[in-house]
Amino acid sequence: MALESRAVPTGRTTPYSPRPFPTADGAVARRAYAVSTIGTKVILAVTGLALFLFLPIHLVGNLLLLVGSDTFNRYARSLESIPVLVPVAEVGLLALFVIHASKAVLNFLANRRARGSNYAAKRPATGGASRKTWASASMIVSGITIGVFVPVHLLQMKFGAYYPVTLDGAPARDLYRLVRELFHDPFVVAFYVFCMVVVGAHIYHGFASAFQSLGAYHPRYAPLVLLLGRGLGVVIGAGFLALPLVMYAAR
Amino acid sequence: MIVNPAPTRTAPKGMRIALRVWRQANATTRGRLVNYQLDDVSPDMSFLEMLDVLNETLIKKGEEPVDFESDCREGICGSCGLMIDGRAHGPLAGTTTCQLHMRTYRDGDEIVIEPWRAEAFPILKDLSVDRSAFDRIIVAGGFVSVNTGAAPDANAVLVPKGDADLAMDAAACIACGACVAQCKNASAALFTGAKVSHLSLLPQGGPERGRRAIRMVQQMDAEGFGSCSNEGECEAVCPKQISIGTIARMNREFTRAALDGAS
Repeated sequence: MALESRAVPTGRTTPYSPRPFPTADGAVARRAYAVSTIGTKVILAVTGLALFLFLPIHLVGNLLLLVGSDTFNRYARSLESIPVLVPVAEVGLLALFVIHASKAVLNFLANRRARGSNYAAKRPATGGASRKTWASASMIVSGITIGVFVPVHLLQMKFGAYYPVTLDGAPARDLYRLVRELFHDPFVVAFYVFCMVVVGAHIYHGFASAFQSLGAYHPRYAPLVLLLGRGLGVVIGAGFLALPLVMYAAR
Repeated sequence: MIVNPAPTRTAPKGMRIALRVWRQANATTRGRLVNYQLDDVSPDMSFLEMLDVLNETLIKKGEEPVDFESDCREGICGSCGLMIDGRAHGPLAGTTTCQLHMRTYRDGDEIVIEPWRAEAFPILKDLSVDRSAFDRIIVAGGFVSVNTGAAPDANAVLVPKGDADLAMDAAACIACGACVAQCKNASAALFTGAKVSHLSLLPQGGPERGRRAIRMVQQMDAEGFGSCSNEGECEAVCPKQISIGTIARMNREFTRAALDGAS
């Protein structure tokens, strides 16, 4: 009856030794909250939402690029002129970024170990309860992409060329010119557009996922949070990727 | 006088089904998918009865039958978990493997059958896995300590209707392990969430609420299950359709207990 039998690479030697049962007086393996599976996801949710909050502010500010050179440069100078705001925000964002990224990578590796051997065939579940999308399945990929994008972005913009300009009789940095020149290059534009699609995809799953990790679930509102998160992913991704395209078109 | 007509023999009208079944001799050897062909599968058979037929033919030929777990075969015991064509418990929602029937398939279909795959669920043989990790999570805290003695008055402890309903929904969990099998992280969050929710919603579960959440989650982590990525694949394959709302409740219970310093 066995017509053919072929080895598939999914088989794995699984050493088997039954674990002891926990006892009544509490012999349960102890781990700190921060390294528990739930604590990890709560930390990812809090840092992820905090990082997310930066994006609408950043987007609204950047949209001033479309208004004009002086408006944008004036906005940038007024942000810089608020005492301690920029350094505090930078250190805070960096800390959130490092915690979120390192926790996410460790979590991804632990989850890979938990599966062990792979299925020969695996399909997403049928039925309406699943929230699995291409975005949710690729969070580690989109996350690593963002992890590459952000340093490149900072090197190009914050640590990019300094063009002095006089604005309202006072010196300022001509960031508008820097951005315009960068987005003359179609490769830079393509890189930014791609990365903004990735950012949108990360939010598409991450926003609602964070609420669920924090335990904020309600049968009536959870579907709305899911929709809101997906909408925010699309709107913020589209908003950011429109900038390089418009700047390139208007070069 | 009524005469029963003699039973007439009908020609076999069964379906031809090609199977690719995971065969693994024991916990420490490598497994592989083996192809089998069944030529007379009745659409009225359950999926497990189809496997019974396969095993009968294997035994008649002197081959080793396919090892799989089953008990009640009426969808309530949670023994019969199989990964069928890459989905836990097969293509139908809210259905255990034993309640999946061959009428779901068509003549000539090929079906891939694999065991649950998770580090915490070692494969014992063929399609059977060791799910005692779930038992250890229950032992760690999935219970209510009570004085045994005279039976308490019925309705002496009042339970709000909404809480009773939510607790009952969570209590429907049959610990089959489909949530772990389907989850990309092999996370047991839905199972543990259901058990934590079931007991913490009821007044009888109140006194041990914090301790239960801490100990069950700690045990879940120690068993090597992954974390929850909130994809909801577990709820979609759960034969009892338990909501991922139970996972959110567990996260709240665990975080609150950790803040309270429960142990």
